Amino acid sequence: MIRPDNVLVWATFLPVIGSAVILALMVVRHFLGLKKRFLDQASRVVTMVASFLMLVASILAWHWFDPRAQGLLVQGKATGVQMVSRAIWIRPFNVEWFVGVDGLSISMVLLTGIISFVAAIASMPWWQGGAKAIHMAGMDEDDHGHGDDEHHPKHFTVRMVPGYMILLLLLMTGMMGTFVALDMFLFYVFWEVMLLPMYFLIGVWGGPRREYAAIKFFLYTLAGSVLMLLAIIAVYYRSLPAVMADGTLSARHTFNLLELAAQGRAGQFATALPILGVAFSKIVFVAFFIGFAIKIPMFPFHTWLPDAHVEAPTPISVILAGILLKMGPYGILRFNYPLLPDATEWAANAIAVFGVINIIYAAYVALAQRDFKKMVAYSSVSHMGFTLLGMAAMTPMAISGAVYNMFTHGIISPALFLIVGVIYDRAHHRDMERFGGLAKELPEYSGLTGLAFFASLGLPGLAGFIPEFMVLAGSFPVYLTFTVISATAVIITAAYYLWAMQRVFLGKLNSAYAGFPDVNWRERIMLYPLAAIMIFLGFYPQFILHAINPALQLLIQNLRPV
Amino acid sequence: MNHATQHLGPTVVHAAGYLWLIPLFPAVGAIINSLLGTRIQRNLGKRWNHAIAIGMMTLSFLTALRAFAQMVALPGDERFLQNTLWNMLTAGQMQFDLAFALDPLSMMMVLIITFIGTLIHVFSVGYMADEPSYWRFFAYLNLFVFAMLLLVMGDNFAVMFFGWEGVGLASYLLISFWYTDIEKAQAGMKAFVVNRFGDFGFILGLFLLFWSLGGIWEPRADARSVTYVPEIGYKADPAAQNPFESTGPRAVVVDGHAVKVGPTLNFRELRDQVVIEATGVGEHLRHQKLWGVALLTLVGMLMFVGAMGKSAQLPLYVWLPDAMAGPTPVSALIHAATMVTAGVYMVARLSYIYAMSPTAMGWVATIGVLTAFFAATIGFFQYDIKKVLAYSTVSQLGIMFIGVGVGAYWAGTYHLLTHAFFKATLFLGSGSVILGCHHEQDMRKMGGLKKLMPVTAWTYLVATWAIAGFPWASGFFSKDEILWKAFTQRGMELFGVPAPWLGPAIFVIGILAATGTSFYMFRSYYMTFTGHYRGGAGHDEEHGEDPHSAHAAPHHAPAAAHAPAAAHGHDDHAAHGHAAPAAAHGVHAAPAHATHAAPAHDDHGHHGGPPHESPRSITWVLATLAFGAVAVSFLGIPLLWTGHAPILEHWLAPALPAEVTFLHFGHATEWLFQGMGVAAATIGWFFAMKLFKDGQSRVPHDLKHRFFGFWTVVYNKYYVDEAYHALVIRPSLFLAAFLSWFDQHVIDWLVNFAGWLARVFAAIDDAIDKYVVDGAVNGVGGLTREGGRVLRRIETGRIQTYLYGAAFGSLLVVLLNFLFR
Repeated sequence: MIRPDNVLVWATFLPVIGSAVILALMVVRHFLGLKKRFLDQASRVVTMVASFLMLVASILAWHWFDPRAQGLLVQGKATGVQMVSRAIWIRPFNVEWFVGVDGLSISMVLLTGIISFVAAIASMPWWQGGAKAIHMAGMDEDDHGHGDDEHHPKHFTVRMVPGYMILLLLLMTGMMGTFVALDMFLFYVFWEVMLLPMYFLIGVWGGPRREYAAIKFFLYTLAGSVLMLLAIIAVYYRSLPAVMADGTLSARHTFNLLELAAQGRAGQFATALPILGVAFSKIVFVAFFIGFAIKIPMFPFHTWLPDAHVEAPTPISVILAGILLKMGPYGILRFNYPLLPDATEWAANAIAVFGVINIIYAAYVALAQRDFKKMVAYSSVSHMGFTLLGMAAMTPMAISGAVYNMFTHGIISPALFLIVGVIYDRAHHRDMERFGGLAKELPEYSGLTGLAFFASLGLPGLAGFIPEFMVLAGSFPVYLTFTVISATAVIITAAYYLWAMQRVFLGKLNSAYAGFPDVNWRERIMLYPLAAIMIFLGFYPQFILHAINPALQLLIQNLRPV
Repeated sequence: MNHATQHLGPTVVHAAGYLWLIPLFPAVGAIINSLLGTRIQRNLGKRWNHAIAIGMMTLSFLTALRAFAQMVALPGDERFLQNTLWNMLTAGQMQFDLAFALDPLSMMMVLIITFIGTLIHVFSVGYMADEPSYWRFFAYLNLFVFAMLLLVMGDNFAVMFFGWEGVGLASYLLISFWYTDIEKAQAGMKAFVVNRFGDFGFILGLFLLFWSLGGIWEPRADARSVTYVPEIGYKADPAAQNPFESTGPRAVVVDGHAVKVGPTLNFRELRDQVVIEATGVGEHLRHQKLWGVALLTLVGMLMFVGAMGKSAQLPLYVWLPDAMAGPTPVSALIHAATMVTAGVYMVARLSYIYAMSPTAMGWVATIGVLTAFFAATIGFFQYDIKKVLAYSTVSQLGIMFIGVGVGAYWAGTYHLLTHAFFKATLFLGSGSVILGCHHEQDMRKMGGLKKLMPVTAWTYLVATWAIAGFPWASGFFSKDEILWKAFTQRGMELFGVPAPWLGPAIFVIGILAATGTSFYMFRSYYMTFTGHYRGGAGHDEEHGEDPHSAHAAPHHAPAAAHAPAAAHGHDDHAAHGHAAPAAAHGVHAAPAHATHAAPAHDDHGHHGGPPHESPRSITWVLATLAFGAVAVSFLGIPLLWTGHAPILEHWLAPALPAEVTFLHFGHATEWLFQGMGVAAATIGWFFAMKLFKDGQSRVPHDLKHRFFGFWTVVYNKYYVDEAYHALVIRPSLFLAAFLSWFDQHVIDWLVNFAGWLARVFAAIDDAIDKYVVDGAVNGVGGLTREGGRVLRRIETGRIQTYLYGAAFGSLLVVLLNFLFR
């Protein structure tokens, strides 16, 4: 049933099918009167199944992906794009259904599968280990006892469950679609599909300041989307016709990203007439770049992230840090680099500067945080700076490191947010100064936290080290000074993580936390696999790198003007 | 006196497919104990925890012996065993495998680590017997050995760096092993963060070295063309942005072997291309400059920054004394015998790089000798027996760096070996004492233990001989060779300035440091083991001399809360909180009944009771190590005595392919210098005996009061920790707080301001909508009415009017078309 030529379609639409099923169940309930509890459980099961199947599909895609294959030919040249599924969608506007993966997106597809499934598990109130733990987390299903007010908020896993699950599944589809879309229009559609569920998931199921955070997130990303849309329109009207799915030539222009890349390489956008006296390609580059930079998030567009993370429920933080942040660099590498090589060259130094600022600035800000989740959020900003720096340096090592960093950060930071969620479910606050000595009471949790912390601070043997090392080593010959400055982050990062470790876990046990239960099975089945992946990738990074290297090599080679 | 048994051909590689087992065993032990340790301890007993750990260590040691046997059988210049597991990373020019290699140097290290490591595991059985998280201790200890083996066995910089950071992790975990004491937790964090400063330098040095192998460094004026270099990537303006123009990897054929030339992280490939002259790489590197400084000098100095961190040299030594917060076996294994020598190992491993830069050599040797002297002076006045040993370790590491700095690579490495034995003996001896005295570390509360703990006392004395440099124990041979080589080395430079005086100066300061070492080590011996026992229940007499201000170091201030009574199985509590230090004179406290050697620990964790000899698992380890501290002498008996090169020098020669020249002197001079070494040891011993033997002399007390200001400064370790706090930590935290404020109040304010602005515009829009647009709509209605009335007049019915209109209209269209084509 699932074949290489439709695996990406399955991966993209399985979650939507799931949400359709839940929707159908809601309709059934409306007419036939199912029990609320039954509907809740059914929608959870559907979510689990759909996201699991999505994980399977993404693993299959990874399995079938051949890094050395030529892939789809565009203008007679290899693109490495495989598992293509293609059809004409809107003929008058040359819009196609066009999905496929190359080395750049395949790792993101795998990551999306993994993290979506983890987020699905994190959305379940199951395996919590006894009534006491359930009560402690506020996961009681029935309403008697305490209600859903500000002082005793119900856990997000038991509030308006079907709605949550529908939105979560929709979000998954949006994410997967964004990574596999090879049609500019389709990409934009998926990009927007992803935005709306996120807004509601933060705004409805979030923490105390959820409305502010959700609006901020929405407006910020919408501003980015608008810029991106303008850039897409500009590129479209400058493009040349291309062959479409049925072999006919498109009318005047094209949305086909691979064709656009070939045209960009040939200078189609570099030679366009200036807009308001500024080179076309530069304006378009900046518009795309800001649109994507907001998602990364890049200084100074990063302030939505701490707020969104702090207010978002744990699984949403997991998705936000694990996948949504990766869309920024992914978009830049998918749009800016291949379409606008001349402007990329022009902007590289600026990107590097912003990368360095991200790395150092966010690391210092993280050092000053008292809120556990905010610290992790800022550490995300800092780590994404490495991706920016590596992208700017454009050496094979640095750019591979940049993309590999997206993957490892996509594994490590979800683990960190899950860890924050664990303690928040128990203590209902995240102020690190108020904890202390938890290692005595929660040894297993402390061990897992330590592992994730050390992975994030770049300890060799765990996933976080290799990308940092590659980016720094690769950027070194290009940006000597920037690399030296960025390398100081290894000290600051170690300082804030170990300080956090000390404040939360070491020292005398704060008696307020005596008797706290250690991690339960619900948390174990999420954290242990992630921890295993961290160790595995720490010792065998080539597992991911062998798939992404050829595509990135091609990408930077194509930056050469013809 | 350089016995150049240089093998300058390509390295001959012998496969040894089992090498990976050596680090694997401890890794397995660590995994078992960390995942199942609690259950094993609860259900099967502690016995199984240590059985697993020690068993894995033994297997590792036996495998190492197997490798040793294979290596010995090979001809001298072919001793290189290699084992590749898998390719870890290939990207651009960087390519490295998870691979292990053993040459004579790393073979020596592996034997030290597995042998002494196993012994210290055995020692820990007795020492940690009362520890509730027994499993955790052995898991960490095994993890440490695993990482340390990666460090020394790595076939490339990457695997070495895995180990390098891995031992840092293990060290962090073990220092803060008793994490409920926040100070110990802080000590662990301090160790890790300070080491990260070193790592920062190390990786920068590594990158420099890596890229410098690729080609030309200084920007070339003519390279302005747009080029793409596959290995580097694309840059439009190489002259402005890309000083590294890579020539890419290529192969040069030497003796029928292809030698890879180009960027590499592999030690063997690095060694071959740099050492073999035919490749031209060494010559090429020698002339490369960056920022006007010789490139290799930068590489050597930056990498040595890493060694400063790991091997606790000035100014990054501050973490090591604090690291004594860890359990004593940890101090012996990690903070004396193995991990802290990683920096020395690294310099020796890269001997051929350092030998090419006189400035780097001078830098290493100068930092080494300054550290040796500086730390020795702090050692004079410490009362905590472990702190004395900690500063002594810092000082001895300085001596090793003199060795590898001046180019006596084998001697520096030999001192590493001898130090591993005698310092492990000393630390474990101190551990035995601490255990015997019920977790007392203050030497003022010891005394007279020779009668109560004879084995401990004897082994401690033997190790003290060795460290002081008496010619019947190993330390003499290594230290003497190092100082002699320092004296005869005249080719070093100080920051690019030739400094022929540097070698002799290092010798003079070094011999002073050696005298000091002998003094404070015998001081610790006499204070601990001779005279009367001053500990026990009652603190009889307040000396009245102990300035509590001395304990006012900020990071120790809250320690007063940790009263000794709180201790349960933790050593070193009392060290911080001794409220009433008693140094009784003439108080009869020595209990009559001597050792009860039965391995019973029922009274551990309680204070009081007479000191007792430690159980046999401890004394046997001590005896073995003390024997080793003497026995390893035979590896380094100098040429002067026998006419043959020392065994170890011969053994290590293939692994240290560095060409360093030393001045030649006659035999008489060399004998004279050996005599000076012995004299230094004797002088130190003599004063220590006079001042501290049996605790009778009042002179130390009087001297202290006469020079009280000086004493306070030295006792407080020259306030270096406080300086760091003021100059590094506080500014960093301030910057962090400021940037956080900036983030919230400036950047986020801008965002919110933009939001507010949008709302204001919306309000204005609303007003426009209401009054202007709506008005316009209403206006349009009126306009149509009025317009109709006006336009009605055009409808004249006359053909001329229509024609005029048509002509004017088409003209307008043409015009517009022309304008907006």
